[in-house]
Amino acid sequence: MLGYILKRVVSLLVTFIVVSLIIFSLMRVIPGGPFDEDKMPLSPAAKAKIMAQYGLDKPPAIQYLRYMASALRFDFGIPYQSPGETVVQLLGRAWPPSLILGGLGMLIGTPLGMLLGIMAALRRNRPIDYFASGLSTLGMTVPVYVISLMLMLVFGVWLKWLPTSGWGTPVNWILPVTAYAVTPLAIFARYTRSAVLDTLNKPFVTVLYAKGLPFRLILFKHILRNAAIPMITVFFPVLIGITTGSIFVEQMFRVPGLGSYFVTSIQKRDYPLEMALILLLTLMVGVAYIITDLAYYFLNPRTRVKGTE
Amino acid sequence: MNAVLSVRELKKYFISRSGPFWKPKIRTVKAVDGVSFDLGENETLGLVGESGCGKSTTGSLLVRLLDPTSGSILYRGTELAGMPENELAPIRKKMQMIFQDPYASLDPMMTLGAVVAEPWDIHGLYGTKERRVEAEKLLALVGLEGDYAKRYPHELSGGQRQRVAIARSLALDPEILIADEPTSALDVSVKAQIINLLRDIRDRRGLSMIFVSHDLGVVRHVSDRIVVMYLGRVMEEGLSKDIFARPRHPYTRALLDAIPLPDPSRIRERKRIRGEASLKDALADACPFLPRCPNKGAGCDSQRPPLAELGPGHRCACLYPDTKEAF
Amino acid sequence: MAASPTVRSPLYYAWKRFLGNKASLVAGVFILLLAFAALCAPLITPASYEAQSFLNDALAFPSPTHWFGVDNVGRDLYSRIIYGTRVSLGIGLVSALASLLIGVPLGAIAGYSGGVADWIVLRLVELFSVIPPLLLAILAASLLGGGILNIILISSAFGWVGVARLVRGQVMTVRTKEYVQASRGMGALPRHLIMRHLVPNSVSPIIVGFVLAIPQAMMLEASLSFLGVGINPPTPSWGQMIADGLYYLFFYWHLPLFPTLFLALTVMATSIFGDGLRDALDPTLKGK
Repeated sequence: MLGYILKRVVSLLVTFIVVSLIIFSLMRVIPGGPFDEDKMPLSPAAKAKIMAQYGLDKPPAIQYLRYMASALRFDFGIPYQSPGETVVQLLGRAWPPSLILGGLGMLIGTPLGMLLGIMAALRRNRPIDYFASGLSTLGMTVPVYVISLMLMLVFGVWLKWLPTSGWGTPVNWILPVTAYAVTPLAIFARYTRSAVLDTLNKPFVTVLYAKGLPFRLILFKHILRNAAIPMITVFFPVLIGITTGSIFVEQMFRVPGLGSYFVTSIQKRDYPLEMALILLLTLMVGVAYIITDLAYYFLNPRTRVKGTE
Repeated sequence: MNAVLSVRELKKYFISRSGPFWKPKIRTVKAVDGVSFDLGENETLGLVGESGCGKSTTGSLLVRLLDPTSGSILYRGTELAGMPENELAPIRKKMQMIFQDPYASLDPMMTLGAVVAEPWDIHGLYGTKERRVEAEKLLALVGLEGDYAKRYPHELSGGQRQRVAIARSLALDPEILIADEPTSALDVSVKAQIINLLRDIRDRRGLSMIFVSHDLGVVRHVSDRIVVMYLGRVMEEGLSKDIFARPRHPYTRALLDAIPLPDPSRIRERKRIRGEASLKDALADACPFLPRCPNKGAGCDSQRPPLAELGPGHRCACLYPDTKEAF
Repeated sequence: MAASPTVRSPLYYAWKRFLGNKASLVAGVFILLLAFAALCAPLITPASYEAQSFLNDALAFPSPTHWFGVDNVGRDLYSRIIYGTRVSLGIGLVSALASLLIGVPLGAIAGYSGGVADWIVLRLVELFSVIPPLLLAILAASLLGGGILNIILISSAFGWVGVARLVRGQVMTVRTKEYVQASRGMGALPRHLIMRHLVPNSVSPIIVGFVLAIPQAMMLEASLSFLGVGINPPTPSWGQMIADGLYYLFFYWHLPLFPTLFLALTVMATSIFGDGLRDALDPTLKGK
């Protein structure tokens, strides 16, 4: 079993290294940097000095190794667009908004989605079921910035109930959090519904019912536990959805979080920031992948106990 | 005897590796562990035993669907084991296999005509028009007359599909048919039809056949000789009537005793054997039946009992064979 | 023994199942209408997508002369939306096709050969799944510059994964089926097995993979254009129009509204259609 974890971690490390190599080479190979003549006219001497300062004058392989070495020490250099601080400091600033909004979105969307899914499963083919299915399809297929836009239009422009941008007070949070919450709500609603339906149809539930157990007890003690297992595997796509969604939500609602910095770092060719962001995101997603893998492995007694051979 | 097929010491070991690569757990499954028998002209050999005894694997080995670990398969003197794929083609035409599951052995996307004609497609025989005509002839031969050629497998019943499989196996005009549990997936009433069909075709074309089955009641009606297998080894071999009249090996006797009789008033003394067949019991230097054998005695755990000739053409791998008549 | 009246191939039953799925039917009709609109764009629009002919009416709200209104530089919004249909559907289709061309052979080889080939393809698939594709796509798009060709390239580079996964799964299943073993027993060579058995029995996942890759590619294009690294102006792209229109959200909300509506409906329709197709062709594929 330990071997299994080890295999996964090694796999993640390999992925990590491959990704860093790809991105590093992409950025170095494609022409166009922040110090091009048209963006920032400098005299050759000044340019050489700046290149040396950022280590851009050494051969690419050396640059890569130096970078990875310092990355391990959490030193990601200095962002081009904000030379007064280190990348780490900038990220430290950018982190909270994304975490708060995304986290709240997940915290609200997940239980709501699960509730919706359970109710839809229990009252199959009744209005609530169609509503839930429709909502989840909507939430899964419509892009998050479209949802954000509709929210902004309806609540910000037409009804004028809520502000549509800014980051200051919790009131500003309502719309972005709602936009974030749609994805987990939709995904969990669908999966909960099908998981509960599957379990409901299993013969052991009929047995419990015949034994005379009250339905509520069956629901909580047996059905939900069985249905919980496949839902762990859904956690991962939800996380990815929120991560990528942050790019758009933050752009639309003008939130200074990781997502919007990602976009600006690319547009401005801010290599240090870009690299750091992508590496951290990959790491985060990779770890989530391993955790869900392990969680599923542990929670499912069928994979744990090997049985007679 | 004029042997069409000669199998000597055929072995198939399946090796699996699991666990981390620095501490691998290697498991060897000895599915077929030294099987020898002969198949004569126009003879039908019944290969019987319980599930997991290696009889189906043996069948697959004969047609080279699996490659033997060791041993020899002689077709009219030509060694098949170890022959490279490209040389096998002409010999493949002589030996054809009929599979157990009629629901899985036909490609659902192909019409029945195409299914029957596939062997010709593979070997590049006949033109398109001829194929159609010949396919219809073969289908008629197995009792599917009319425009069955245009139909799809899912429109037929299990028995009918098995007929198509039989027709397909005859396409290349083989000498030997290897039927792997052809009736196991069919209803009782259909079993008889298929068995009769096989017997009919065999007699008309003068084919040799190896009939693999766990159903002794069925095997009895088809086979001239019987080979009884247990955990990958041959336990007893002999003429069909001899085996059924006087089974010598305790395992064979137990198998026969277990055949249900339709008359409940006939009571017979039944030797019950305990336990289950498990490959872990098949030690290299002992009789594989030892843990469950009622006849066990000295010497059974120190050597593999050799196949001893107990009567004309009747051999048994047991140190303490039964002597009583069967009921 | 009476002969059966009509011969029904497995595809017939699939068609029947599909017709029973009302949502997919509606989605299919919608897509057909869109495709029609895209093809006949010049015939049904009053102006071209880049003609800034209505500067006097810039930012006008929808009216009988301008069904969707006018944008900020005097272009008829309705025309832009209709031409945008061409861009979205076109890119979606071409990318999906390219994804097929890459994904089907890779998936088939991986499923059929197993071993090293399978391992390599699986690693590739895993790589593309762990990293959020959108992030890499944004990076790639910004580095390569925008433009239709680059977008198609990037879309296919991420689209093949889904197709390959489906095809690989199906090929692995079919490979162990008894009818394939039977053919082998008759002496069939791998080429015969692949052409006569594996490919015809893999048609469902190939079709499904193709149809589901279309909304994926459309979404990617729209997202990239929204961020400004996708289709270059003046070629109209709904994503780009949304981004531009966002500035005018408060007073001229018709600018972002219509592209948003069309994008949402089109992606939904293609997704539902794809799901319906998948359910009709092979209900066991659900959830993969």
